Amino acid sequence: MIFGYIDAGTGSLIIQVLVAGFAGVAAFVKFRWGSIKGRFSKEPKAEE
Amino acid sequence: MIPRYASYRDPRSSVAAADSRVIRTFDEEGAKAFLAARSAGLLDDFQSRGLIPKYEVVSESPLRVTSDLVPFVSYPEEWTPEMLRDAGLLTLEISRIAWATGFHLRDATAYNIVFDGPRPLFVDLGSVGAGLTPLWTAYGQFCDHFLSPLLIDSHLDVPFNGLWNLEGISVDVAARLLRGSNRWRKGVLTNVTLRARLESKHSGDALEARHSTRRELSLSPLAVDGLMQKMERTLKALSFSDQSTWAGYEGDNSYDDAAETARDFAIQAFAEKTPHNGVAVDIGANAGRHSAVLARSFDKVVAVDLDRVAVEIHRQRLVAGDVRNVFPIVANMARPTPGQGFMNLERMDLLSRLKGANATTWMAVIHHLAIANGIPLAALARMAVEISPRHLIEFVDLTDPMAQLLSATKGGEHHDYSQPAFEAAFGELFRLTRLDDTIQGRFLYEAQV
Repeated sequence: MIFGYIDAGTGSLIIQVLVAGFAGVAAFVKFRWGSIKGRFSKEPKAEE
Repeated sequence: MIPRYASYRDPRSSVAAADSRVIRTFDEEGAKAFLAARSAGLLDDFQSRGLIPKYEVVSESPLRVTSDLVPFVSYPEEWTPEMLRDAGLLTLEISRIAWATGFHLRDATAYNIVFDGPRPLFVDLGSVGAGLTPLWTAYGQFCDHFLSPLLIDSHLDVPFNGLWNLEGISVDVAARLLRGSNRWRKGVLTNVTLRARLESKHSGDALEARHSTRRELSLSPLAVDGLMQKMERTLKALSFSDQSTWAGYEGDNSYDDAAETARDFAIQAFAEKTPHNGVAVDIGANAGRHSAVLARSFDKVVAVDLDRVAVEIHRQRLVAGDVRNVFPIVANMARPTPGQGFMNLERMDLLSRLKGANATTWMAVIHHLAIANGIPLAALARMAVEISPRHLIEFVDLTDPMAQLLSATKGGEHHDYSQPAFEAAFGELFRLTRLDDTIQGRFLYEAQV
């Protein structure tokens, strides 16, 4: 048995709660809202 | 008993091997979890479904459990992406059954899975922990060992094998690779992109913050099962490239049917003359035609090829035919998998794992190793003698158009390559017998130490 990740990192714990609450996409948009807004206003083709 | 370095990190149980048996010794807490899982019927359930090896309790205090040693263990970097996916799905299946019975898996490393022939087995009985946990404890490790490598392989068409290390592929590396439009693929945004951001954001959290995150975050058991189910769906939805140089080889090569049949007969005769029919190694196995001949005489056949697509075609044939004694793996004998991890012994190098085989076949591969990879014939003979005492070798000389092609690619810059050079090099270490029959002008040799 490899025992490196017996305790998942903090981020991996938080993300589970977000995913389970179907909040994944919403949380990401909120988390990255500034840069998403900026990216779309300058360069619309950056994210297809 | 030989202790296994592979198990040294687990404080709850350790593994040793003796007389083709694996012996796992548990500490007090590990023993409690194991015995609870056994009395809950969980382990019998796994066993009757064929998900874990058949085990036997041989001592109660300390608790010792034995099972058959899988005769050849391959590692994830020697698997096709479909094998890694099957290993991941088995981990999820075990994990979900355990969860429904009130147990959890303490980890989710790909090394908990061993391929016994073409099918995966979950071998780490020490991983089953008693009780449910507030979250899916092994989620991060599952992502690193299974999800991220498979996403990269599928969406970027980059073989995960070359990126693999003992802990899979870390989330920061995965996030840097799965960028742009690939972020919007199923499972990437949450399990890779956002997870990487959160890991990096919280990597500097003070001790108290870490404790409070672990105290405060929790999900219902149903939600945790939902996460695992979602992961299953994500894995099943992936597809992998079937682009291959060699996969069409068996139906589309330079030999006619008569030559193929002659080759099969030669392999069969060689196998029947081999005194100990334990393990055979087929180097350059392609989709397994010759391995199938060997498997009639030998208990086990390790089928090595460097083409992932050919190996997967081979494995699917074995699964379809319910053949269990052939072990298809992806490896290049010009640079076999090195020993890795602690002391370089945690995961053994490929040659050490092949060592002790009874016989090896090298059907039309020596010219690839000698010419394309530039390995001297004498060095190949030294590698052969490390693997097994008996060999069947199909030697392709420079009159062959394909060998000429290889030589031309090197501008003719390679070690002496000819039939006399081959006979001299292998004759140093082996009693070499040239067989009477030639196959389309190619000579077959039996080499015996």
